[in-house]
Amino acid sequence: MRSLRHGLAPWVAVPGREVAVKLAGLLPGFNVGAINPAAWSWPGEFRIDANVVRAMPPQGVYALAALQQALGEARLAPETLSDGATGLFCASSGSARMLHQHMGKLETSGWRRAHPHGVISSVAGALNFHLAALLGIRGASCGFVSACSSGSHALGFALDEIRLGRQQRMIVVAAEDLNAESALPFAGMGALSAASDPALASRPFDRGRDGFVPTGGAVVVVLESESSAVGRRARALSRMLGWGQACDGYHVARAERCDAAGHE
Amino acid sequence: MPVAAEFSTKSPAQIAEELLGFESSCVAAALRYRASGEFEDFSAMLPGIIAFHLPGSAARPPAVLADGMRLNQDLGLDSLALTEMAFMLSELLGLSIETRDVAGVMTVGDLKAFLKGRLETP
Repeated sequence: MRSLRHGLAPWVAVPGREVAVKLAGLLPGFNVGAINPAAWSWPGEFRIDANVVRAMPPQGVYALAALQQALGEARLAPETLSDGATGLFCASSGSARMLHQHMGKLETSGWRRAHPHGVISSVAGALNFHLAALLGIRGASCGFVSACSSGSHALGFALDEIRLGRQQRMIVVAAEDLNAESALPFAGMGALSAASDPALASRPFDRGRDGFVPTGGAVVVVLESESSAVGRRARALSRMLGWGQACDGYHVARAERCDAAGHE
Repeated sequence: MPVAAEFSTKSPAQIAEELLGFESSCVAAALRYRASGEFEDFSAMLPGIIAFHLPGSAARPPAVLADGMRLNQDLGLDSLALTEMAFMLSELLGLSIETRDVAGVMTVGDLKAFLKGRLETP
């Protein structure tokens, strides 16, 4: 970020169609754009079982890759994940793409034949229950959906979970997919940049800004009590001091209210 | 035995695309069945179809499946996987297979008998 390097690149939201959104943040080596999960692919360094991701939303692939990195960095053994002292919070809005596809098929079948993965690959809690089952989590498990604040909420409540003594450590996952269904509705709000130059598209504090650039991806943080981390000689990367939240009770999207009401 | 009507209209390329991610032996058996209409060829698809639908934690099934093998206890197919398999077969073959139709399918032999019946009387 300091060197202003970005991952934005030209993006075809709908092949063969001209749409207003020309750019996105792309993850090189990952391809989860196909409707059929059997066609998804990811870099070989990630040990991801195709049978496991088949019922997941597309961002499940991103989440599994980030989990592999985070759990490796934290040196958490698989048996530790199932010790009951480890919880999992996931922030993800589900998959509009999978919901769209499955509902479309259901409608064309005369509302008679629903794909068995229609729910578990698309609902907001999908990532949460898939990953909890896969990791063998026996502690707290919960999903967070609060739009752009979802990841922050998951991290904040994870800290509370530890401070209240309910868990020793929390795995916090935030992941979203990138496709026409997840991104283009934001263009309908006028929220997306229409720029075609990757170097000029994302300028949140610039007078000439024209919106944000969509992306998909995942981040995983392992949050742990100090005593637990010290006890297993984990290398801490940072310390979370606290968190809080408030709302200005003003508008669903506009941020023009400048009196910071609710944020004192 | 006639080839399932909708299946017979699909090109080999379409069939291969619908079976993306399945073992190559399964795709080959599907193409043989399309050409021959023989249930033996259709049955040869089943190990690959079962392997594709197994949960990630399950062991890979043997290449030859005995009729007495239980889908759940011996092979690891859970109820969701069985439902998904039924959905996939109905889409591939163009047959009407409802979830409740496979509720009583417990073994490989049950599955073969059920599918043979559907293929003979769609």
